[in-house]
Amino acid sequence: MCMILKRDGRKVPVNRQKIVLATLKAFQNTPDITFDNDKVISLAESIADSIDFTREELYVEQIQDRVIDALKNNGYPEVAESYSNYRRKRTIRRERGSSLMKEIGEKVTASNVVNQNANVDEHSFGGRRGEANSSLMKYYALNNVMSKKAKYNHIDNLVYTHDLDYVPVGAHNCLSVPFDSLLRNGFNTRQADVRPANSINTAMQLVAVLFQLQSLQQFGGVSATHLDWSMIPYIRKSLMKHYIANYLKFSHEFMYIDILSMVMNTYEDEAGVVRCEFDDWVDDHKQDFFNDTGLTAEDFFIGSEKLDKKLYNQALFDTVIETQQAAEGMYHNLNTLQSRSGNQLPFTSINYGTCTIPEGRLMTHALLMGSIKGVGKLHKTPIFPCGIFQCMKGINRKEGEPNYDLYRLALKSTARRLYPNYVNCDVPMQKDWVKFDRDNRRKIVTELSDERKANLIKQITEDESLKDILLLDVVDGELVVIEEELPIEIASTMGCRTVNGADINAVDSIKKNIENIADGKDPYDNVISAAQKDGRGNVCPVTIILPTLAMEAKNSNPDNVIDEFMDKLDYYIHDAKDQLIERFDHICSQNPASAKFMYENNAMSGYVESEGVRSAMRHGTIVIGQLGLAECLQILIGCDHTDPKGMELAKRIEQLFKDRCAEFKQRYKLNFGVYYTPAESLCFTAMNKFKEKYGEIPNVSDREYFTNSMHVPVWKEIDPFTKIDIESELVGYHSAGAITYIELDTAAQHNIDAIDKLVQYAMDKNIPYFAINVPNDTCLECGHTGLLNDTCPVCGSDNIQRLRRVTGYITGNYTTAFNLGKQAEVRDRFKHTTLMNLGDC
Amino acid sequence: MHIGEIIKFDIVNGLGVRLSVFVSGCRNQCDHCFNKQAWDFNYGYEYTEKMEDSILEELRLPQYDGLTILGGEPFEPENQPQVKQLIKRVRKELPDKNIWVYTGYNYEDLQVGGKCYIDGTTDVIIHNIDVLVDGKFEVDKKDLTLKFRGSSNQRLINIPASIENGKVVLL
Repeated sequence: MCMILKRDGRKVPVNRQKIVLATLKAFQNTPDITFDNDKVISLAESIADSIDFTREELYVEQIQDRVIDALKNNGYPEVAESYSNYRRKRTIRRERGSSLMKEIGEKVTASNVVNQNANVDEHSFGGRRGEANSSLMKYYALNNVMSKKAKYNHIDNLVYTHDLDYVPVGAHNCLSVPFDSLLRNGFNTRQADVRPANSINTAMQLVAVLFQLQSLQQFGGVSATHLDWSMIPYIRKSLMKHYIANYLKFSHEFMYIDILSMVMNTYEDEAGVVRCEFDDWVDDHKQDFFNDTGLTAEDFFIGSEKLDKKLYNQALFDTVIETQQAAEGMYHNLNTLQSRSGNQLPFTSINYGTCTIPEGRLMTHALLMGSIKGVGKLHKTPIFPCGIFQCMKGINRKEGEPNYDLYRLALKSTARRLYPNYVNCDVPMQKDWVKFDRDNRRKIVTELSDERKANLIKQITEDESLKDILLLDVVDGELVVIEEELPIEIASTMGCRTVNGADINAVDSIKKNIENIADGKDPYDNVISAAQKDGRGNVCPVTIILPTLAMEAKNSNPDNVIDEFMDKLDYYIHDAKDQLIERFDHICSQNPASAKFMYENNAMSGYVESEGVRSAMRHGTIVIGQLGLAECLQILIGCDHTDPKGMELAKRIEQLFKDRCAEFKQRYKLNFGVYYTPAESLCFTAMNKFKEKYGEIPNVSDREYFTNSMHVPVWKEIDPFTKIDIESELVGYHSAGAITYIELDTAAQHNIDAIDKLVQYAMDKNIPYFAINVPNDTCLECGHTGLLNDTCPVCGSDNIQRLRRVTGYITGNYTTAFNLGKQAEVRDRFKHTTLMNLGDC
Repeated sequence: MHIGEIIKFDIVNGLGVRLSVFVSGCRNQCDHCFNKQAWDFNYGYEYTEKMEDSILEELRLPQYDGLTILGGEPFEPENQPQVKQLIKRVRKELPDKNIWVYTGYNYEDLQVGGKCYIDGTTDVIIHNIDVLVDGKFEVDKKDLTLKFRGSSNQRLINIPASIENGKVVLL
């Protein structure tokens, strides 16, 4: 019997009836044609008759070809056309389905690992399942969720939608976790209620737990914005705890109780901190202790004069040890706890360095010591968290300033461990953001009725804690705005570079909060300031692929390429805006039950249950990023922005981004911002697509990656100071995040003064966020670190881990964890050894 | 004197950010030298007054902590006069910048009666520098963990303190 070979390889017996039906269907689906059913059936029968069924096997395509030929030959070309169109559509759909299946197959078996995200282990079970799922989600996002505009801008390498796989579920990007309130109030999880932290050890354990929990509510990173300040209350609680324990030891009460069991019987509390019954005994005696001594909890802080010197010194010693242990514990936790189905570590960042109160200094010191020491047996460089030292004038920039010693320690850590990076707390835009808040607050207060003013004055005088919520004080019977920058407002950043600027929607919250409290009601929401970083993050980003626009401009109007490009850029900035609003609306349409932890515990600020998800999301940023400014300029004018001519055009381009985002922010009342995109996998995938379309163009597409955002190309042979100079000219235009990197030789480990020079220079040039790359290879046999060749120079082992930085973070072995584009970029990174041109001397 | 190369914003050869001048010509010729081409006294470009002006002009930038002279061998008798001239000028015109010099000879060779000592020249160089890194590179004493030097026999000598104390004081 004759068998038909189908495309998927199956063989089925030939079925004449199917041929007849398919032919009839083709007639029915051809518009504007009249036909006689019987005639068509007899034509179809004759087609079927013409096929040689005596052959053993026939391909399904051969039969279809025969049908098309017969239709044409019998005077029905339009039906033949309709039949072959139908066939083409089927083919496309089938291939689309099978290429998706092929991709899913590759992900499930980890047969084509591309390291899209250097932090995801694509080989692990969790990673394989997750990546396969992500392929499906991307497909679904493009075809079922996004508008045609967003879809084709993405596919055509014009405006890239980041984290496409999270588009369908409508998750948001990242968040600065409000540790102050979460630790102070405790929080709920699906399984447990966690009590407020009562010691530095517990607090730091909870930091890791909270990072973990929040990272599951979103797709991006989590940060702590001022960890040194946040830990003050818990260091004080530890000091009190140790003081009371030592006091009780002197009471000799323990002589006649089973103290041995109490010390030996340990258990883990809900934060995972090991406690023993003796600790509980101390807690139980707290009230007696207060009664006996007349002391109160407020008497416990470093430097307190009210305490017994001897007991205080012992307690301080115990507290310092506990703080250092707590810091080490946090490094350990953040490098071991897996997240998102076990395939990655949460992207965590911690900012610190500006607190001059002794407890805050102690915390910063412990964090830096932990970083320098490294984790584990071989003291390996901690990959998480991304440490960020907050440089602030008058606090830690110059010799003689209170935290200058901690800044020097930070430099030492950077030389050895790449972290911390440095965020600039004195950049003009940071001052503008705080000013935006205070100006609006002053206006709100001025416009209050006299009755409300009087009520506020009365309430603030009675309850001092209102000052911290309203940022209002009473001076000489008048309401005044507190001008001082709060710890939650201090410049901080996500490790990658994302920052939270002035929140246009905070003004509404602040007004309602002030009015509600004046009227004796509960506050409207928990937003404190328009310049606060805590409880806010980026909601979603898009990135404009500048080189594609430049090529399109060049091809469509070669005589006036720059104007053509600027028109196109403006057009796609508007598209980017539309795409962001589209995604933002989709995110806001989600049920708060999708991120229960975040909403129930007010981790994202501004959430008002009756108003839904939008009430919180509106305080986050939505940002327009960019990729490949250097290559774009090369296409347009044949040089990049290391040339003054290139810089002039670069500024024109950035000005357009800035103006449009400012406009959008006002018009749509959403926090639009200009973002200098990290582009980890995008630098590589966008270049591949670009090459497919335009081929290899010198200085544009002759490498494996596009240059990040507005960076100077990594292979450019310029000295580090000049690189800082150039990039500093473009930092005034962004509002949602930028980073500048410098590549140094491994000998920088010994040269803290050189690193100091670079950091100071970058800060003075208003670089908002600065990171130094020092090759960090670690011999996994003996622990020697530096830039190692094939084998370790100390012990000869070839078992070497090579850490490099990508998108602000450092990640495991770059030769296996980075995508090919980023690997090539690391190889090309120029180490800034520049020679004087002696030929001219 | 000839100059092989000058590295701008160098962070490898001395504390802070440095302008590193590599002079040509060396008779020490250590085994496994990292800069063999500089053994030749005629390697590179002739040292001229114009070049000296360029060095001073570059070093004047606030980013620089100081000048490092290495080579080659700055204390070969052929090189000493112009090394002295450069150092004196830096001291006079840029008193805030410190000066490091690397030599394959020992500090003792540069003292009165030492094998490299030139009266009125070597002593002027020594009295105007801050740090001397001395000693041959000995490959069996190579240690990558050392600061600013290649082998453990080499010393980082604090020159003003050594002169004051009449004996070698290490940095």
